[in-house]
Amino acid sequence: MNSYLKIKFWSFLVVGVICILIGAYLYPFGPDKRVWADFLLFAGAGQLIIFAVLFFIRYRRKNRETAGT
Amino acid sequence: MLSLAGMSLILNHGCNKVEESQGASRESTNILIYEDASLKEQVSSYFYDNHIYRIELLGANREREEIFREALAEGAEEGFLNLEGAQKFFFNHTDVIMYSIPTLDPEQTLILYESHGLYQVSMAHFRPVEGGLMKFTLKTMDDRDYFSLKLDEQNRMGDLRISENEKIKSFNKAVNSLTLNEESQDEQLKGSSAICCRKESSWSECMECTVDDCSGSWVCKVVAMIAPAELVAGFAASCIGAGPDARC
Repeated sequence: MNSYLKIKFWSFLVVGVICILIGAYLYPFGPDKRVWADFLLFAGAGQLIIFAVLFFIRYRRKNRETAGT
Repeated sequence: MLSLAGMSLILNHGCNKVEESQGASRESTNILIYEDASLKEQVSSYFYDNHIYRIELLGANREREEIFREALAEGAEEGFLNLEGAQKFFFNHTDVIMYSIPTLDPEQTLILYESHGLYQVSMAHFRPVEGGLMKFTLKTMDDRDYFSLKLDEQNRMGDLRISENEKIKSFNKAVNSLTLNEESQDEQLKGSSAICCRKESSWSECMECTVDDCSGSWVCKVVAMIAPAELVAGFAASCIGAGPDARC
Protein backbone atom coordinates (compact mmCIF):
# COMPACT_ATOMS: atom_id res chain seq x y z
CA MET A 1 0.00 0.00 0.00
CA ASN A 2 1.53 3.35 -1.01
CA SER A 3 1.73 6.22 1.42
CA TYR A 4 -1.24 8.10 -0.10
CA LEU A 5 -3.53 5.10 0.37
CA LYS A 6 -2.20 4.59 3.88
CA ILE A 7 -3.05 8.19 4.79
CA LYS A 8 -6.51 7.82 3.21
CA PHE A 9 -7.08 4.53 5.06
CA TRP A 10 -6.14 5.84 8.52
CA SER A 11 -7.89 9.16 7.89
CA PHE A 12 -11.24 7.34 7.96
CA LEU A 13 -10.51 6.34 11.54
CA VAL A 14 -9.07 9.70 12.62
CA VAL A 15 -11.75 11.85 10.95
CA GLY A 16 -14.50 9.48 12.18
CA VAL A 17 -13.31 9.69 15.79
CA ILE A 18 -12.89 13.49 15.59
CA CYS A 19 -16.39 13.94 14.12
CA ILE A 20 -17.92 11.76 16.83
CA LEU A 21 -16.03 13.53 19.60
CA ILE A 22 -17.11 16.99 18.37
CA GLY A 23 -20.68 15.77 17.75
CA ALA A 24 -20.91 14.19 21.20
CA TYR A 25 -19.38 17.33 22.70
CA LEU A 26 -22.08 19.49 21.10
CA TYR A 27 -24.90 17.10 21.99
CA PRO A 28 -25.69 18.35 25.52
CA PHE A 29 -25.68 22.01 24.42
CA GLY A 30 -29.39 22.07 23.67
CA PRO A 31 -31.65 21.99 20.62
CA ASP A 32 -29.83 24.78 18.72
CA LYS A 33 -26.68 22.69 18.41
CA ARG A 34 -28.53 19.40 17.97
CA VAL A 35 -28.66 19.61 14.17
CA TRP A 36 -24.87 19.96 13.95
CA ALA A 37 -24.34 17.33 16.62
CA ASP A 38 -26.52 14.86 14.73
CA PHE A 39 -24.76 15.66 11.45
CA LEU A 40 -21.30 15.16 12.95
CA LEU A 41 -22.30 11.95 14.73
CA PHE A 42 -23.77 10.62 11.52
CA ALA A 43 -20.72 11.59 9.46
CA GLY A 44 -18.37 10.13 12.08
CA ALA A 45 -20.29 6.87 12.26
CA GLY A 46 -20.20 6.65 8.46
CA GLN A 47 -16.44 7.18 8.36
CA LEU A 48 -15.91 4.51 11.01
CA ILE A 49 -18.08 2.02 9.12
CA ILE A 50 -16.02 2.63 5.95
CA PHE A 51 -12.83 2.22 7.99
CA ALA A 52 -14.08 -1.03 9.53
CA VAL A 53 -14.93 -2.48 6.10
CA LEU A 54 -11.57 -1.45 4.60
CA PHE A 55 -9.76 -2.75 7.68
CA PHE A 56 -11.48 -6.10 7.34
CA ILE A 57 -10.61 -6.35 3.62
CA ARG A 58 -7.00 -5.30 4.16
CA TYR A 59 -6.25 -7.75 6.93
CA ARG A 60 -8.04 -10.61 5.25
CA ARG A 61 -5.76 -10.05 2.24
CA LYS A 62 -2.71 -9.84 4.51
CA ASN A 63 -3.67 -13.08 6.22
CA ARG A 64 -4.03 -14.80 2.89
CA GLU A 65 -0.60 -13.51 1.79
CA THR A 66 1.09 -14.80 4.97
CA ALA A 67 -0.71 -18.11 4.65
CA GLY A 68 0.49 -18.39 1.02
CA THR A 69 4.21 -17.84 1.85
CA MET B 1 -113.51 16.41 38.54
CA LEU B 2 -112.85 17.95 35.16
CA SER B 3 -109.82 19.82 36.44
CA LEU B 4 -108.41 16.57 37.91
CA ALA B 5 -108.90 14.79 34.61
CA GLY B 6 -107.21 17.69 32.83
CA MET B 7 -104.25 17.58 35.19
CA SER B 8 -103.82 13.83 34.83
CA LEU B 9 -103.93 14.24 31.04
CA ILE B 10 -101.25 16.94 31.16
CA LEU B 11 -99.08 14.85 33.53
CA ASN B 12 -99.50 11.75 31.40
CA HIS B 13 -98.60 13.69 28.26
CA GLY B 14 -95.55 15.16 30.02
CA CYS B 15 -94.37 11.71 31.18
CA ASN B 16 -94.72 10.32 27.67
CA LYS B 17 -92.63 13.20 26.36
CA VAL B 18 -89.86 12.50 28.90
CA GLU B 19 -89.89 8.79 28.01
CA GLU B 20 -89.79 9.65 24.33
CA SER B 21 -86.86 11.99 24.75
CA GLN B 22 -85.04 9.43 26.92
CA GLY B 23 -85.66 6.78 24.31
CA ALA B 24 -84.42 9.12 21.59
CA SER B 25 -81.24 9.95 23.49
CA ARG B 26 -80.68 6.21 24.13
CA GLU B 27 -81.05 5.61 20.40
CA SER B 28 -78.72 8.43 19.49
CA THR B 29 -75.80 7.34 21.69
CA ASN B 30 -73.39 4.61 20.62
CA ILE B 31 -73.77 1.31 22.44
CA LEU B 32 -70.66 -0.41 23.71
CA ILE B 33 -70.47 -3.95 22.37
CA TYR B 34 -66.97 -4.98 23.35
CA GLU B 35 -64.11 -3.46 25.26
CA ASP B 36 -60.85 -4.84 26.60
CA ALA B 37 -59.06 -1.96 28.31
CA SER B 38 -55.92 -4.04 28.87
CA LEU B 39 -55.42 -4.21 25.09
CA LYS B 40 -55.23 -0.42 24.98
CA GLU B 41 -52.01 -0.48 26.99
CA GLN B 42 -50.49 -3.73 25.71
CA VAL B 43 -49.90 -3.43 22.00
CA SER B 44 -48.65 -6.62 20.42
CA SER B 45 -45.97 -6.16 17.78
CA TYR B 46 -47.46 -9.06 15.80
CA PHE B 47 -49.84 -7.75 13.22
CA TYR B 48 -52.06 -10.81 13.34
CA ASP B 49 -52.76 -10.40 17.07
CA ASN B 50 -55.97 -8.80 18.23
CA HIS B 51 -55.61 -5.04 17.98
CA ILE B 52 -59.28 -4.16 18.38
CA TYR B 53 -59.85 -2.98 21.90
CA ARG B 54 -63.32 -1.46 21.56
CA ILE B 55 -66.39 -1.96 19.37
CA GLU B 56 -69.44 0.28 19.44
CA LEU B 57 -72.80 -0.04 17.75
CA LEU B 58 -73.56 3.36 16.24
CA GLY B 59 -76.66 5.17 17.44
CA ALA B 60 -78.81 7.39 15.25
CA ASN B 61 -76.51 10.37 15.57
CA ARG B 62 -74.39 12.79 13.53
CA GLU B 63 -71.49 10.35 13.34
CA ARG B 64 -73.68 7.74 11.68
CA GLU B 65 -75.14 10.34 9.34
CA GLU B 66 -71.65 11.43 8.36
CA ILE B 67 -70.38 7.97 7.51
CA PHE B 68 -73.61 7.31 5.63
CA ARG B 69 -73.08 10.48 3.63
CA GLU B 70 -69.50 9.45 2.86
CA ALA B 71 -70.65 6.01 1.76
CA LEU B 72 -73.29 7.49 -0.54
CA ALA B 73 -70.81 9.98 -1.95
CA GLU B 74 -68.55 7.07 -2.90
CA GLY B 75 -71.35 5.36 -4.77
CA ALA B 76 -72.93 3.04 -2.19
CA GLU B 77 -76.65 2.44 -2.71
CA GLU B 78 -78.87 3.84 0.01
CA GLY B 79 -81.31 0.92 0.14
CA PHE B 80 -78.51 -1.65 0.11
CA LEU B 81 -77.08 -0.56 3.48
CA ASN B 82 -78.36 -1.68 6.87
CA LEU B 83 -77.42 1.44 8.78
CA GLU B 84 -78.85 0.19 12.10
CA GLY B 85 -76.10 -2.42 12.24
CA ALA B 86 -73.22 0.04 11.70
CA GLN B 87 -70.31 -0.60 14.06
CA LYS B 88 -67.25 1.38 15.02
CA PHE B 89 -63.89 -0.32 15.71
CA PHE B 90 -61.00 1.16 17.70
CA PHE B 91 -57.46 -0.18 17.26
CA ASN B 92 -54.63 0.05 19.73
CA HIS B 93 -51.83 0.28 17.16
CA THR B 94 -53.22 3.01 14.92
CA ASP B 95 -55.39 6.12 15.17
CA VAL B 96 -57.41 4.95 12.18
CA ILE B 97 -61.05 4.21 13.05
CA MET B 98 -62.90 1.55 11.13
CA TYR B 99 -66.65 1.51 10.55
CA SER B 100 -68.52 -1.46 9.18
CA ILE B 101 -72.02 -1.28 7.71
CA PRO B 102 -73.80 -4.55 6.92
CA THR B 103 -75.58 -4.77 3.59
CA LEU B 104 -78.60 -6.65 2.27
CA ASP B 105 -76.15 -9.18 0.82
CA PRO B 106 -74.79 -11.21 3.77
CA GLU B 107 -71.55 -11.76 1.83
CA GLN B 108 -70.82 -8.06 1.58
CA THR B 109 -70.02 -5.46 4.24
CA LEU B 110 -69.23 -1.83 3.63
CA ILE B 111 -66.01 -0.78 5.35
CA LEU B 112 -65.02 2.83 6.01
CA TYR B 113 -61.64 3.83 7.33
CA GLU B 114 -61.44 7.24 8.95
CA SER B 115 -58.29 9.11 9.83
CA HIS B 116 -57.88 12.83 10.45
CA GLY B 117 -61.28 13.53 8.90
CA LEU B 118 -60.43 11.61 5.72
CA TYR B 119 -62.49 8.60 4.70
CA GLN B 120 -61.75 5.59 2.58
CA VAL B 121 -64.79 3.59 1.56
CA SER B 122 -64.35 -0.06 0.64
CA MET B 123 -66.53 -3.12 0.18
CA ALA B 124 -65.57 -6.36 1.90
CA HIS B 125 -66.65 -9.56 0.19
CA PHE B 126 -66.66 -12.81 2.11
CA ARG B 127 -67.73 -15.89 0.21
CA PRO B 128 -67.06 -19.62 0.15
CA VAL B 129 -64.70 -20.91 -2.52
CA GLU B 130 -63.55 -24.37 -3.60
CA GLY B 131 -62.00 -26.73 -1.06
CA GLY B 132 -64.13 -25.56 1.86
CA LEU B 133 -62.22 -22.30 2.03
CA MET B 134 -63.61 -18.82 2.55
CA LYS B 135 -62.31 -15.94 0.46
CA PHE B 136 -62.14 -12.47 1.88
CA THR B 137 -61.69 -9.63 -0.61
CA LEU B 138 -61.53 -5.93 0.05
CA LYS B 139 -62.39 -3.75 -2.91
CA THR B 140 -62.64 -0.01 -3.38
CA MET B 141 -65.97 1.30 -4.59
CA ASP B 142 -64.79 1.30 -8.22
CA ASP B 143 -64.78 -2.53 -7.85
CA ARG B 144 -61.00 -2.81 -7.91
CA ASP B 145 -59.28 -5.23 -5.55
CA TYR B 146 -57.25 -3.89 -2.68
CA PHE B 147 -56.35 -7.17 -1.08
CA SER B 148 -57.65 -10.68 -0.75
CA LEU B 149 -56.91 -13.70 1.35
CA LYS B 150 -58.32 -17.15 1.99
CA LEU B 151 -59.31 -18.66 5.33
CA ASP B 152 -59.52 -22.37 6.05
CA GLU B 153 -61.86 -24.08 8.53
CA GLN B 154 -59.50 -23.25 11.38
CA ASN B 155 -59.39 -19.58 10.32
CA ARG B 156 -55.78 -19.85 9.16
CA MET B 157 -54.91 -17.24 6.59
CA GLY B 158 -53.25 -17.92 3.29
CA ASP B 159 -52.97 -16.86 -0.34
CA LEU B 160 -52.69 -13.20 0.57
CA ARG B 161 -52.75 -11.03 -2.53
CA ILE B 162 -52.24 -7.29 -2.42
CA SER B 163 -53.19 -5.43 -5.57
CA GLU B 164 -52.09 -2.08 -6.91
CA ASN B 165 -54.90 0.30 -6.12
CA GLU B 166 -54.52 4.01 -6.77
CA LYS B 167 -57.34 5.05 -4.43
CA ILE B 168 -55.82 3.19 -1.49
CA LYS B 169 -52.38 4.53 -2.38
CA SER B 170 -53.55 8.15 -2.39
CA PHE B 171 -55.50 7.65 0.88
CA ASN B 172 -52.39 6.16 2.49
CA LYS B 173 -50.30 9.05 1.24
CA ALA B 174 -52.76 11.65 2.55
CA VAL B 175 -52.99 10.00 5.99
CA ASN B 176 -49.24 9.48 6.10
CA SER B 177 -48.47 13.12 5.30
CA LEU B 178 -50.98 14.30 7.92
CA THR B 179 -49.46 11.99 10.53
CA LEU B 180 -45.94 13.06 9.58
CA ASN B 181 -46.88 16.73 9.86
CA GLU B 182 -48.29 16.12 13.33
CA GLU B 183 -45.21 14.19 14.38
CA SER B 184 -42.82 16.83 13.07
CA GLN B 185 -44.81 19.50 14.92
CA ASP B 186 -44.45 17.38 18.05
CA GLU B 187 -40.74 17.05 17.38
CA GLN B 188 -40.41 20.79 17.00
CA LEU B 189 -42.28 21.33 20.23
CA LYS B 190 -40.11 18.76 21.98
CA GLY B 191 -37.03 20.37 20.45
CA SER B 192 -37.96 23.89 21.48
CA SER B 193 -38.83 22.81 25.00
CA ALA B 194 -35.91 20.40 25.31
CA ILE B 195 -33.70 21.20 28.24
CA CYS B 196 -30.07 21.92 27.56
CA CYS B 197 -28.34 19.23 29.61
CA ARG B 198 -25.52 21.60 30.57
CA LYS B 199 -28.08 23.50 32.67
CA GLU B 200 -28.35 20.52 35.03
CA SER B 201 -27.03 21.12 38.52
CA SER B 202 -24.02 18.79 38.33
CA TRP B 203 -21.72 16.92 35.95
CA SER B 204 -23.33 13.57 36.75
CA GLU B 205 -26.83 14.95 36.22
CA CYS B 206 -25.74 16.48 32.92
CA MET B 207 -24.39 13.06 31.89
CA GLU B 208 -27.62 11.34 32.90
CA CYS B 209 -29.67 13.92 31.01
CA THR B 210 -27.48 13.56 27.90
CA VAL B 211 -27.53 9.76 27.87
CA ASP B 212 -31.29 9.84 28.37
CA ASP B 213 -31.61 12.31 25.49
CA CYS B 214 -29.31 10.17 23.34
CA SER B 215 -31.56 7.14 23.74
CA GLY B 216 -34.33 9.15 22.06
CA SER B 217 -32.25 9.84 18.95
CA TRP B 218 -31.65 7.04 16.44
CA VAL B 219 -28.48 8.73 15.14
CA CYS B 220 -27.09 8.79 18.65
CA LYS B 221 -28.09 5.15 19.18
CA VAL B 222 -26.30 4.10 15.98
CA VAL B 223 -23.16 5.99 17.00
CA ALA B 224 -23.34 4.45 20.47
CA MET B 225 -23.20 1.02 18.81
CA ILE B 226 -20.24 1.90 16.59
CA ALA B 227 -18.12 4.08 18.85
CA PRO B 228 -19.50 4.03 22.41
CA ALA B 229 -16.25 5.08 24.08
CA GLU B 230 -15.80 8.14 21.84
CA LEU B 231 -19.42 9.13 22.29
CA VAL B 232 -19.34 8.97 26.06
CA ALA B 233 -15.96 10.72 26.08
CA GLY B 234 -17.53 13.57 24.10
CA PHE B 235 -20.50 13.74 26.47
CA ALA B 236 -18.20 13.73 29.48
CA ALA B 237 -16.14 16.58 28.01
CA SER B 238 -19.18 18.73 27.26
CA CYS B 239 -20.66 18.18 30.72
CA ILE B 240 -17.57 19.64 32.35
CA GLY B 241 -18.70 22.99 33.68
CA ALA B 242 -22.38 22.02 33.77
CA GLY B 243 -24.54 23.97 36.20
CA PRO B 244 -27.64 26.18 36.36
CA ASP B 245 -25.71 29.17 34.97
CA ALA B 246 -23.76 27.23 32.36
CA ARG B 247 -23.61 28.44 28.75
CA CYS B 248 -25.82 26.62 26.31
